[in-house]
Amino acid sequence: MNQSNRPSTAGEFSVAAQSESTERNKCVADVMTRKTVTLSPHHSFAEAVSLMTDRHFRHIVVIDTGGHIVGVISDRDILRTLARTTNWQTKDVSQIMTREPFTVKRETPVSAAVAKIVAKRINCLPVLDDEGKVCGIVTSTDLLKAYQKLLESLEGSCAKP
Amino acid sequence: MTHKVFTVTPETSLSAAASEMLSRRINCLPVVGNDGKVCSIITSTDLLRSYQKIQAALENYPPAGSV
Repeated sequence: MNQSNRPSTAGEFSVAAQSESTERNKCVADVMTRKTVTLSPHHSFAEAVSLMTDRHFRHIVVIDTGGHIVGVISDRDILRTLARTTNWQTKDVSQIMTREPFTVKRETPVSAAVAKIVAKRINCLPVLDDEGKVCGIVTSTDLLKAYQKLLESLEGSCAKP
Repeated sequence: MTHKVFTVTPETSLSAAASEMLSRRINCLPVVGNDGKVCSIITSTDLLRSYQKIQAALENYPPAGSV
């Protein structure tokens, strides 16, 4: 625990209490990753793999020509394909993606997103806008960041002024 | 395998474990006891489960400073 983060005066105490309240009531739009990487269903398996290994992310959203989500590819889907198929070189994205993935809306509470990820044993939820188009993605890492901020704010507001 | 392994102890705070995972871009930390042996492992999923429990508990309490 970082002692220096603890408030030492009444003024700092109320700031900590305020930030704790803010951390509690967050919605998906506050914590999601806005920049998503997308592929089309016809892209090759190799293209999906190189995209994931070249950069630091584990999830790719698959969209159709109208911009609507048709699936998700995670690092798990890639591992499964490598382990269970011998002819993975010939596969395309539509053959390895998870179809009709669980999604959330921008205004979904963070607690509901956490519950969904834990219950469904998944690591990402695409975020859809009112038109049903992908406007972001919320991953277990985004939620872990939010949890870390909440824990820090709780440590701050629990400390005696 | 990964040779450079980052570990925590049973006494490490949850926020410190979360910080370690986020800064190192990893999803699990072996938990090493006083005898220097690995006694368990904590994953990002374990932390999200505890997030869920804390959120549920917080719903029953007003934010600090509001009363």
